[in-house]
Amino acid sequence: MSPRGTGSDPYEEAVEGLCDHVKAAFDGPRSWHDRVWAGGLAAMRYLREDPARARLLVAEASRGDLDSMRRRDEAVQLLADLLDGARDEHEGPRPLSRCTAEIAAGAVFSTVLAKVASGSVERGEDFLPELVYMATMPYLGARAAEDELAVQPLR
Amino acid sequence: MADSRSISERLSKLPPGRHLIPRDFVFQNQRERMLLATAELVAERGYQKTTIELIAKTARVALTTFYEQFASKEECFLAAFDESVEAAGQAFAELLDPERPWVDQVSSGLEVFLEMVVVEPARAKLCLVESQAAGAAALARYQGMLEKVAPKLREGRELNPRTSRLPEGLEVAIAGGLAWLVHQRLVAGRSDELKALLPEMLQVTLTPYVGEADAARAAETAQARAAA
Repeated sequence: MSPRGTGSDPYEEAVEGLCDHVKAAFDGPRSWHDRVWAGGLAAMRYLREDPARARLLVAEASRGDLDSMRRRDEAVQLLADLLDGARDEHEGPRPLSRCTAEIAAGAVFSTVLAKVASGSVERGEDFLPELVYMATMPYLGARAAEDELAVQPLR
Repeated sequence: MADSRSISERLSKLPPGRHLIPRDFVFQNQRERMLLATAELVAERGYQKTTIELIAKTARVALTTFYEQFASKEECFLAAFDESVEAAGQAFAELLDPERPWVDQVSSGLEVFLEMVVVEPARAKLCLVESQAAGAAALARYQGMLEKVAPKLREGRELNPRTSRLPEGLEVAIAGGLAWLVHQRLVAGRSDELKALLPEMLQVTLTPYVGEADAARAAETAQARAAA
């Protein structure tokens, strides 16, 4: 396994590319909600752009060496960092900790794994609203998150 | 549920030489020792660095005994995984009352799950961490384990008047999110923090079905119960 960022390992490159796209799309002065959609769209475009790379991301995430597991964990933790930004705006009945962001990120990751493994990406299925539901539900509440499922994202 | 004996006690070898212990018992005892040794070694060293020789040595069986029961390290790992999941399933069946309200069942289920992780960290690590690093068959087992949780969570859809709007994969995703959180704590050696996270885990789990207010109430109840 090559050191991070040297570009000689396809898995490293794919994970880094995905993280960079999501981070770049997420950054900006918009609301957290809009940034979640922007980050999600960037991730979906990245996966659809090259379905073989999407499969590689899933298959290699479980290849068992410590470097690939560490890299996968870092990517999910990055997602948790981004989602955790909503905590300050959260007005629910109980305060939340970073633990909620980790559960939401894990749920998003679990969904992506299942969708890629089942061939959803190749079939062009749009599961972005489902991902946004998982990411926003703990912060925006059940009903608001359900509304996300009806959104038709721009392709 | 948890076995309070030490690892060395649990791995205790049968008396050497000829004895009158039935062959089936010997076979089963050796198998249990190998599965336990696999869980302990994999938790300590990771799947990749665990060898058949080490498993046999730790379980105090001959290498030939290992191959009498398993064709490979992977087969032994999968057997240890299956045995752990089955034991957890039995514990859930014994400890959870299906007649209680669904929210209470989920709350108790999560509590039992976290208790198992804390009491049996090696088995937890085998099922939640190393199964994702031990090849395609193990990963499929991990995925299957998440899917086993889904039917119980799915019962909560009856409590949401807009149930048809919920995503099809919601239950597996929630199970995956909870498993991820526990995975991270196990990898970081911070499983002692897990019980304190129960209220928040419960809140996220229940919200899609009962809404934020009721989910928060259940979380508060869990917190109060833990404090008491």
